[in-house]
Amino acid sequence: MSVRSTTAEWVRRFWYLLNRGRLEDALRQEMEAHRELMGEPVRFGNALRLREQSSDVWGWGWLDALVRDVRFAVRGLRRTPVFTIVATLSLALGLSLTTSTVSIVNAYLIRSLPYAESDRLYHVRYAPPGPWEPTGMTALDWSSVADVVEFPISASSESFYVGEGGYAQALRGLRVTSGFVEGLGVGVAAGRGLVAHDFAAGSEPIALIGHALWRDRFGSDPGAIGRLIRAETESRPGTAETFRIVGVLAPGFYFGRDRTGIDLLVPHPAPIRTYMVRLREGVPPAAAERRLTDAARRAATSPIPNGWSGVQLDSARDRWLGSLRPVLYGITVAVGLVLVIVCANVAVLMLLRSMQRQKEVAVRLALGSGWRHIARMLLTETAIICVIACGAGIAITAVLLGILSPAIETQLGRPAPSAVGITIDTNVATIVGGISLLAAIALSLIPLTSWGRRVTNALQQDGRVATEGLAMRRLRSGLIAFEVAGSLVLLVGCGLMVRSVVKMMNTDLGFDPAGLNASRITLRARNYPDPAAYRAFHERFAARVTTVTGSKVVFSSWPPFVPPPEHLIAADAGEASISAGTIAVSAGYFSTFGIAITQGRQFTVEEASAEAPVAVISETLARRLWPSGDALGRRVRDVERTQGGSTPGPWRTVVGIAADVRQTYDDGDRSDFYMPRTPDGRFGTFYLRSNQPGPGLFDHFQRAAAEVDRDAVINPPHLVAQDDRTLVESRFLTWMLAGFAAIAAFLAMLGIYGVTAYAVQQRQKEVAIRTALGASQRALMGIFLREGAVLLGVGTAVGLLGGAATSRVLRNQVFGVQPFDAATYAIACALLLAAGFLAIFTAARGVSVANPVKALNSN
Amino acid sequence: MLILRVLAAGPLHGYAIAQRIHVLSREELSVEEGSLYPALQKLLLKGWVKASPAISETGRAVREYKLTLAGRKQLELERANYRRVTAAIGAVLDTA
Repeated sequence: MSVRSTTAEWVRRFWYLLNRGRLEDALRQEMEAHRELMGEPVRFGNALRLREQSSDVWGWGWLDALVRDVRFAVRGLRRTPVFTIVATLSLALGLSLTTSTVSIVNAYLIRSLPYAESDRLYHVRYAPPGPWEPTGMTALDWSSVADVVEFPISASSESFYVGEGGYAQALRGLRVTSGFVEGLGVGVAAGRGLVAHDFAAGSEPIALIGHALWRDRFGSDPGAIGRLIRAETESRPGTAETFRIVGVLAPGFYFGRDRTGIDLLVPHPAPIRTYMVRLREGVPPAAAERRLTDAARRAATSPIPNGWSGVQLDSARDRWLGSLRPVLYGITVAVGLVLVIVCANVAVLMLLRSMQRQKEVAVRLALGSGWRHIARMLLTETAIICVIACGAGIAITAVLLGILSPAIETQLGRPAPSAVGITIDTNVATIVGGISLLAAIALSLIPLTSWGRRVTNALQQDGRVATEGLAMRRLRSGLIAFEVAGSLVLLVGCGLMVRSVVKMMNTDLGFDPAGLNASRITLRARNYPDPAAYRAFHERFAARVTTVTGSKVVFSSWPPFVPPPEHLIAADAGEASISAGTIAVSAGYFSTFGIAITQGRQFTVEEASAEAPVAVISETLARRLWPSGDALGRRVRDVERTQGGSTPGPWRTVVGIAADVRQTYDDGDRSDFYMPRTPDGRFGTFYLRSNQPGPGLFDHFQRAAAEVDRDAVINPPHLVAQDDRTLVESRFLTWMLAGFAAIAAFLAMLGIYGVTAYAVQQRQKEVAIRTALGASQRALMGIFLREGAVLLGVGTAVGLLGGAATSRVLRNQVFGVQPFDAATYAIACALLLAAGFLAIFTAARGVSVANPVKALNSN
Repeated sequence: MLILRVLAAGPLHGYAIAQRIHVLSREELSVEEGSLYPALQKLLLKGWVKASPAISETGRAVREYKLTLAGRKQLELERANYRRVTAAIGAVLDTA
């Protein structure tokens, strides 16, 4: 049949659907009129059957059946309101937790970086972390590796200063090559993007402005496109460049480690040193590393030292996710477990309810409805509950995420990749919808298993409620035991994480991050003719801030919680050199950071100013350099590995020995070497210990800086403790696991209580007989307690096995605690068993029959 | 097919169609007259006939069915098919 006729047929079908009432009425009248006209009306046939056949021709029979099923299911659900409400609420809670977790995982793992083909993006490392890199990398011949590298993504940051006098604004700029635009896929919100022509020599200088800049400085005016903007650059002070604005970047576009966004994007025709590449499809990074190493060797303009590890490629996505991936997996598994426990609870409820419907089902079967029909009815009921629960769950989550999303992003240490943040998008909705569907199907099958062949026997029994079979009891017990097991697994995981976090918090890092604030200064080169001028600024700035806030300001060349660059340290007696982390710090660093000086003293201000030839070394380094004797007063020097060999520093006298500092929790090498220095360049990072909140401090910093140099730019301070990613992430995981474990345990206890109470009610006759025979209440309770104990026991045993599996999975997240830590297991078991027995006890307490005879006589 | 042929002469309502088939077939074909109506619905679905309101001889509201252009084409198609099949059957019966 042709497409046109099929479409026409569907149009006619829909038209029938919309006008159904009218058309069916007309048919009925028609058929009646026909019968009237006939001599022998008998020959007409069964009018009802013929009308139904006529109706079926149009193909909407399935819709009718569905509507009927839904109406019937709703009626059935309304008859047992308690079950319906409890089941819907439990599922809504479970689905809400699931939706939150899926949203977070979607935002960080699935949606990933906001660049095109982000799985092929790699960071390029020419040398291990530290100051040395091969020179001449700007001239690396990218066309020679064009078969493995699709785009070299080169960008160099630039500070632009726009406007004169009072309203000067420092803009974060980025000069990019053509590979940047194509490799990352720069999206524009208005105007146009960069095209190849813009990179040709001699073309008009153009720029793209950032979305925030467009909004704040130009009021989101579309007329801003085409205007000229005049900016002074840091690299060429005194001269201004004029750019024509051709487009506005998409909101949320950022590049680089600090995701503060880009204000000005400018094409740069000349080659720039490239730190990011996009590989061609199917090229393994190892192969690309080899090719790039060769190309780097060819391009290097100075000799490369032996032992150079070559060019390394780090996946952009992995570097950005960092340690977050296992945390996310952990939460996903935990929430999956909670959802399964919720479903098990609802399944038990459905089993109990199905008990009451045995007679109804038996009657229907006797009347000729097949099993498929019964199954469809069950599925409809479960589907309605699941749909409502899914909708409610998503709605709750949407509200929760709206409130909690910024807090979550702070905890995880990095904002969600795209500007949208953690939201519920089509991915999340599809996944959660699919899960709800699976749950609905699984749950609807449960009562079916319990009915089976015995259902027809139900008709022969008196009483409203039939007694249950062994299979049903086993199934119910199995579900509850499974819930107990699941709760135990979560409790064990939570317990391990709690102990791990406590251990971490009790670990002596060697310094005290509490209350320590960090911030960055950026100065304009044109105001400072030489390093001494920079030093003067920093000293005056530090003095001003100290006066205002009352706390000392110290500078350091390297942030805490990051392993510092390694230099070789040589001792004066000629022993072998030892590798140690080297940091340049200002006076008062050790006292501000809380690092104990075990011998000697700290640096003085004069020493820091003059970069005097003194040094402070850590205890471990002192022990390794001079195992026998005293390190104070001895001479050391550091050897910095640079291009073309190594530059030994001046001989320094050891004036102090500091306690060992761990930069990470498993920092093996605690040898550290400190040199005195006040920052003598454009950039400096300073630290201050204060209890004042961030905005207040920021205010002080800015005012103090403005008093010394109006053009200085200070970044808002942040707490150093937030940089302790391991601790923060572990704490986050612990809180999540604790919440999930609590919910799971609560549900399991509720389940146990419910089943025991139900059993008590079911076995009233048996209880009545026993009472009549003289059993005490305690003995009766004992029966139920014993049965409940078996359930708990089985559940705990299975849970311990599951807990062992969890421990293996959590191995990498756990610090200082053995994965099979007996204490954690014991405590978790004890807690769960205690709660379980409490639940059983409370339920069994209701066992007592006032009048056994009456109970025996009733149905 | 028979309904289509009957309607080729002009629009009719349900009873009239049944009468005409009965008469034309020289009273050979007689089935449940009501089974006409499901067949008419199928023709309506396929777009081979169109229905419009009318009044019967007794003054009742009925629907008149009219053959469409597509219906005429379908009639010719089915006629040709029927003739071909009949000829084939006839050939087998005559020779075997």
